[in-house]
Amino acid sequence: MYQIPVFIEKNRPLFKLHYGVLAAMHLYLLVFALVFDHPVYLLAMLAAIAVLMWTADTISYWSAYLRMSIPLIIFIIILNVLFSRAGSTPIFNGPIILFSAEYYLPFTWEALFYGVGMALRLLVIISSCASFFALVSPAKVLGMLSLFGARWALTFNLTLRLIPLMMEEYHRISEVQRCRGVEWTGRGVINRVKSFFPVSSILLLSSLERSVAMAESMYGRGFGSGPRTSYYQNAWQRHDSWAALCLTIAGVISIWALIAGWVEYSYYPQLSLIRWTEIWPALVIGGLLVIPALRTGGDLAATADELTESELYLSGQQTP
Amino acid sequence: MSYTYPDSKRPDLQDVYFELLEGQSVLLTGPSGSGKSTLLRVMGGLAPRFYGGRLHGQVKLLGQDLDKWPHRDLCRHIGILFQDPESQLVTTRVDQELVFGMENVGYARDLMQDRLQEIAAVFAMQSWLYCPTLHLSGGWKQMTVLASIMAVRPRLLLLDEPLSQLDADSADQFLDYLDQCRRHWGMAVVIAEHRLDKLAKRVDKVLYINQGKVQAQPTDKISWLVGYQGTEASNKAKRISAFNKGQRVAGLRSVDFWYTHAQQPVLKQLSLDLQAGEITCLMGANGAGKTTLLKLLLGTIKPCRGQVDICGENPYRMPALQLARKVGYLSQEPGDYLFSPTVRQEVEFTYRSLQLKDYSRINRLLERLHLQPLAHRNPRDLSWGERQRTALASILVAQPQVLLLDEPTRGLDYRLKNDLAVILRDLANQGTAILVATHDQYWANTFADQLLYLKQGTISDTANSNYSGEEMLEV
Repeated sequence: MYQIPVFIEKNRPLFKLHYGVLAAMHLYLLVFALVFDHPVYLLAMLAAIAVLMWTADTISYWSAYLRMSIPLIIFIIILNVLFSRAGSTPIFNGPIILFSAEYYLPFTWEALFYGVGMALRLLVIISSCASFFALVSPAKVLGMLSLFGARWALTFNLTLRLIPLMMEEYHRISEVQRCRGVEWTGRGVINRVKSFFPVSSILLLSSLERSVAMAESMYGRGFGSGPRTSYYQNAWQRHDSWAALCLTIAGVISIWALIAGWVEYSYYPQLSLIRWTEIWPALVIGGLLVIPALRTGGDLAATADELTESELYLSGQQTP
Repeated sequence: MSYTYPDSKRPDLQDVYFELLEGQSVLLTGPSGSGKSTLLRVMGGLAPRFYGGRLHGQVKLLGQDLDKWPHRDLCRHIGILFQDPESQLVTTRVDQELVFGMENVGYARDLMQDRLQEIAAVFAMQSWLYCPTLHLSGGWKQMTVLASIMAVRPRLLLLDEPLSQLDADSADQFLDYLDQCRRHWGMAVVIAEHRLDKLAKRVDKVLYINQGKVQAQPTDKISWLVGYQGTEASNKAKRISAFNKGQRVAGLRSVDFWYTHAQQPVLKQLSLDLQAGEITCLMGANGAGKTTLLKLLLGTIKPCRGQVDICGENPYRMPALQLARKVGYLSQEPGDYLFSPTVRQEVEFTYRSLQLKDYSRINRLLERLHLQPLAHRNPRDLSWGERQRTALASILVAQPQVLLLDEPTRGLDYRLKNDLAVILRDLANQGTAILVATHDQYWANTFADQLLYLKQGTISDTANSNYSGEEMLEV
């Protein structure tokens, strides 16, 4: 059964951070995941995200994203091994005998590790997105995007609301179409693609109808009638300043490592050596990123063992 | 007042005249497609502002022409609740939804805070104020949207079929809240609704609309309408069955089922037999497990314990081609079936998928479901009832032995409900076993052979339908 990752606010330090700090932290992760080549730096970032998710009790949310990305990651690694010819250390040294003929496979360790490096980069990017959506409530995102205009904010919020709804619709339509002989399993890829056509068409048509209904409802509730006010406000606090300081130091060290060339790594024609003198900044960066997640006391102390209202509801202790 | 939609050649509303007083509650009723929703849209300022079209005559709010009101002020004075709550929820959490309307019309933060607390208290929402909207049931979604509209505190509230997705208890609760809001804030309320029995004693005035023309009716006329039309349905649909009942075609044996996120099982040790030629109506509150039971029979979900069979086989393991010949399923949303350019092609799609041989079956079916005149129309352009008949045709072409229907009366007026009852009786007479999940106790009583009540995961009571529409009304 598929699981739709849903934001649930929890009584953990990261949820108390100002959305500006959280946005900056995830922007940092996203940008430097693209800048860093060195696998140790990427691993340090991934480890930092894992700690963030663990301390925020959002591992299940993260794992939903990871499950979705695993096929793509495997595909990247296999593709690289199959088609990259720049490496020099073969995985298989001896010949392979097929139909009485000898073949030498061109697959190399360098290509495999390059594929793993690229997969790691993708994993950091996906994980940073997962972490952002797990830690920042749609209301905070709405507030953040309001800075750029209310319509942007609402578009984003509607997207967040409608994606799970469309997934539900997709499953419902698939069930319904099964009663008309539309088969999803077996019968080959072409037939399965054919089966997808009615479902996708209905989904598209229903979404268009829904968009008109939603636009009408929003118009009727005064959307677009003038400047909006905002009920939700997020005040800057002392722990936000500490988190921002940690992030700034991590940013400075990252730029320093970038200028010094420590974040580069060459996979071809042979894997280059990993030197301790080049990778210590990665460990410092990882440490700085997790510091805001380890805060105790303050607004957390009084309610440390209490669940938030959303958690109560979802755990079944409180039901409407 | 007369109003014509941009694509219409003749007026959709004609020579409408009536007045509404502060605190008055008005029921707007009439056949499907008669213009109820259009009238609400005109009264709410959505037509022609949002829809375009031509308006002749005057529509006034507090003595001022509606088109002279600025959009923002209009939204502060008029609230509109539409039929489908899913299409009205904009945000992801209940509290955000409650303030959405207030934010739009520019209320100050302190005022929003006061209103949020007040509305949560009036609607008893404190315990689920921070729930994700995704997890709410249909009834609670409807309540959330209503509360959000009430938070703005409009002077006039317009409701378009607000009870269509609610069970009897939820509908009563919804109407109680509505009465409470009227008492608290003295607003005028207009409700367009087909479930007249629920509203008979709660409204001050009845407006009957037919083909775009409005007539005022005395409130006691509602009872007459409900009683008369129920008897008519009963007479047509309760013909003595020509089919020899008794042959078991499908059923469940000691079935337990629970969803992974749920604390309690939805179905507990549930057993049920469906017999050829018999119409069984399954009733129960929102969330009682009616749709889950249908899905188990359809084989889209697997029981956690127990057995489900269709003609002796496990539907979960059945290939779609085989399943479609044995089970037909009509979901709550006829739109989930429709994608072809014409009604005929929609039916032909199932015919081709199942590689059927007898093409004349399509014509016979279109004739029987009164779809022949619409055969070349796009099914998405049809009314709700016509869409539903098209969806029904697209599954009946496979001649299934078991027919499962989920809330088939949603959005249908009494005439269309009667038609549906007659069609189902015809199918039963040909040997089809029919299971209908419905909230509409009144309708179910008029034609079902067997009524089952699903409560706390089990079938709590079984009773043959032996009382008429008039008796139901008195109850």
